[in-house]
Amino acid sequence: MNRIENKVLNEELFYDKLDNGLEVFFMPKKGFAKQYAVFSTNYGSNDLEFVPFGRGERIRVNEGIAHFLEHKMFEQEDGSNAFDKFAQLGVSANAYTNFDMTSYLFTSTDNFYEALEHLIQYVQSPHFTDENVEKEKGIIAQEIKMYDDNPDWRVYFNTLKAMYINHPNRIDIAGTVESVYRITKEELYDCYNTFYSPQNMALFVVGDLEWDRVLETARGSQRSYGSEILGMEVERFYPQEPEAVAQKSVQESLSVSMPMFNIGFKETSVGERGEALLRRELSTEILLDMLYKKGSSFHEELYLGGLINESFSCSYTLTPDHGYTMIGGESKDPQRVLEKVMEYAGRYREKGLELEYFERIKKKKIGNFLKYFDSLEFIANNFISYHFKGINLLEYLETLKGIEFDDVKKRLYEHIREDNCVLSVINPK
Amino acid sequence: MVQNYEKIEIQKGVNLIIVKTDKFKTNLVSVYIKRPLNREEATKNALLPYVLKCGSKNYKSQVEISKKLDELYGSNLVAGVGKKGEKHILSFKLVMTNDRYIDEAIFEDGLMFMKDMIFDPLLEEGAFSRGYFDVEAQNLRDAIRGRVNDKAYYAVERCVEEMCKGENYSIHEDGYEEDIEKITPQNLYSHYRELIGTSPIDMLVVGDIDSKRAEAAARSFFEGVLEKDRELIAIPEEQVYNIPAEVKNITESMDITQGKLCMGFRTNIHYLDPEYYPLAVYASVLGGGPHSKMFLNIREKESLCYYIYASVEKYKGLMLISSGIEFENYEKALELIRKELSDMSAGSITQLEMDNSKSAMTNSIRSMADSINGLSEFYYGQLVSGVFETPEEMIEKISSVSVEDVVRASEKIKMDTIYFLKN
Repeated sequence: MNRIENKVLNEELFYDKLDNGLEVFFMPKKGFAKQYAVFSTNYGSNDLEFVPFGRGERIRVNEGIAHFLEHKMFEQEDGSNAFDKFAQLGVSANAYTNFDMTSYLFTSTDNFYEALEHLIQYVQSPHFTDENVEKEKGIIAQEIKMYDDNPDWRVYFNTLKAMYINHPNRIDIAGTVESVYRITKEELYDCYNTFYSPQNMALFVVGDLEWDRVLETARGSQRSYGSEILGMEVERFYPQEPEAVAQKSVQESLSVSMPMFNIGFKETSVGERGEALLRRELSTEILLDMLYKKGSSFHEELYLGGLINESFSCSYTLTPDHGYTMIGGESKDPQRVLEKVMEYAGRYREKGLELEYFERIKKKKIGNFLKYFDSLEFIANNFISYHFKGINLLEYLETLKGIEFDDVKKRLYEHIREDNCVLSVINPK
Repeated sequence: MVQNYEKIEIQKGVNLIIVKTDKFKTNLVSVYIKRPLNREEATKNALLPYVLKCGSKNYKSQVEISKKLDELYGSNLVAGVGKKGEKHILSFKLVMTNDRYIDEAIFEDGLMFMKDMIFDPLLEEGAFSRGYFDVEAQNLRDAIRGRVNDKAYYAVERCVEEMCKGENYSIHEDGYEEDIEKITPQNLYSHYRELIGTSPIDMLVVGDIDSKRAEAAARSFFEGVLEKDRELIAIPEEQVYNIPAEVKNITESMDITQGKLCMGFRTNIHYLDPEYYPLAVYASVLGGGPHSKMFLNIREKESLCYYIYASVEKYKGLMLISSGIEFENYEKALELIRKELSDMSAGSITQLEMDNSKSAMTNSIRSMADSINGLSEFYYGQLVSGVFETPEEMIEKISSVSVEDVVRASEKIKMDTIYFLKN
């Protein structure tokens, strides 16, 4: 058993590794009525090529399968649905899949330990049949079509498609209606057996609970695994991604009231994990804040000039194998917004960034991070996501405080460039 | 779960509610201004918070405001409008880091900043600043036009608009594009004066703040900005009881890939009626989540949709069912939903369905108290309805609902409008 305390955050964290390799984390939250558990595998929609468990050769699976698998995990051997038991326990359960992670979770205010046992047991017992796989296809097809009608999602995905040449990031998390209809139960078992082994997963629990009981329940709910599964190293393959972008600009027409845009800057220095990754992420976020976010002269000029509105947003995403900045919103003239984005970057390269502003943004980010700790969902989901990137969320503040002005200045030259930049626009029909 | 709160009348028409809790790292101060929802002032009400948050006499620009907020450790000021029944609510919310995490007392400072933004606007010749007015009028125009962007939400709004035609509830919280043309910086400022002079204004403080300190800060917040004896505007009660003569069928087209279905019902149940909690249980059994009849039968068994839910609008007594389906499945979906509705009124509800629904509702009521904004909205909702119930009392009432109660509630629920958005 291990315990970490963070005095600034006034939080503590317990963790242990079970014999089968599963890592278990717990953060006590006194006074909260709600409890939250998330059980995640380090496996997402990007994992399309790998050597499946028990077989010697590399395969490529159908697009959207990680998400399909997430839907199908709820099937139980006795014909019931994992939701049924959660409903009886009065807890609210859900699951989500993204590019590199799949998570199963619930929030409760009662019956926590029973629900935790159920969470672990259902995720560790797949039950796929030809019939239940077939039945899911219609539901997922409707989910895909729902996203097709969502212009925010379209403009975002088109940006990824423009940025990436080979990387599976350019493929929709849910796949396509066609790829989903090709999925079979055998293929689902291949993915499950490869990626849902305990050493590829993590469990995070937060709430007003007891560590001893959390650990005991987690340990007692494990299914037994053969030694060949526990000793397995997953071999996965990602295509070589060039630094260049696939296309500089992409346009689509949908029923929207005014043009929507996303400007993407593809990260070309990837491959880090742990603190190095977090430092790059934070330095870039501070840079974006200083250059473009509300409070910057860029934002004021464009907002008052009617080029951007309240929907304007700006964010940076970084994982060990991909990363990007997204600057998006609605505008009557997205091309002009792009020109302004480049113009301001150039202006700051010439006259330099302001040290005082840098300090202020850091202070703001510290306050914001503290605020996020009021949300159990934020803590749990981010803890796991950072954990798979080799980062302990409790060290976030220390790393943030250690970011230097020079780190941020460097990112201005490295990241905001012409050649790694794309523009995605959704025009009104 | 006992939540301690105090209600203090600062002056006539101005209440302060302090909800004390030490589990958050933040404090939240919300200021709510209540107006009647009607066509005459809806668009002005919608525009006002956005113009105010652009600048004040002391913080003239976004750059100055952001600088102040950054100095308050990344505090955040959010302004907007919403509706509760036929009441139009303007709200201003300031989230601040709790002093004890930053070794600096920012609570009073934050409140004074908020006071400045709401009560001391940037003026030019006795009217709002022309520049900010124009920008925000355009933004509001864009937001109103942008309603079509979220298709599922648009279908729900259109359904309500058609169902409640001629009633104030059909008025959109963001107002109307054609009404923006009639607003000027001058008449918006007169409306603002009228609003400050005649509206119920309430403040909610949630967090780890000593109540004496919160009260003192609230008193100085309102000091010198409100007349002592204000004549408050009358806000009419919603008409909840309504038996539609026939079901309206409305189908509209848009270039989309998935059909959006929305069905509107008059529940004929007021939140003070004994059937209110049975109605809430009814909606949960029918479409309140993965435990519900519609989820299990229409999504899981028939694979007809990805989402399908039922929800209740408390203040106007409406119920809405919403789903996304293939265009050609329209008739089939209606038939399946009708089947679930008739099972509900026939009392074909298992004990398990009742228990699951009640547990889900209990879980969500208790979870609400873990969100600082959830607490603010919960207690403000109580001020608006005048019904003061603790979360535990609500849970108690839910748990005593029987299948017979649900059936009795179902007899009052009348289908009013079926809206379908297709290709």
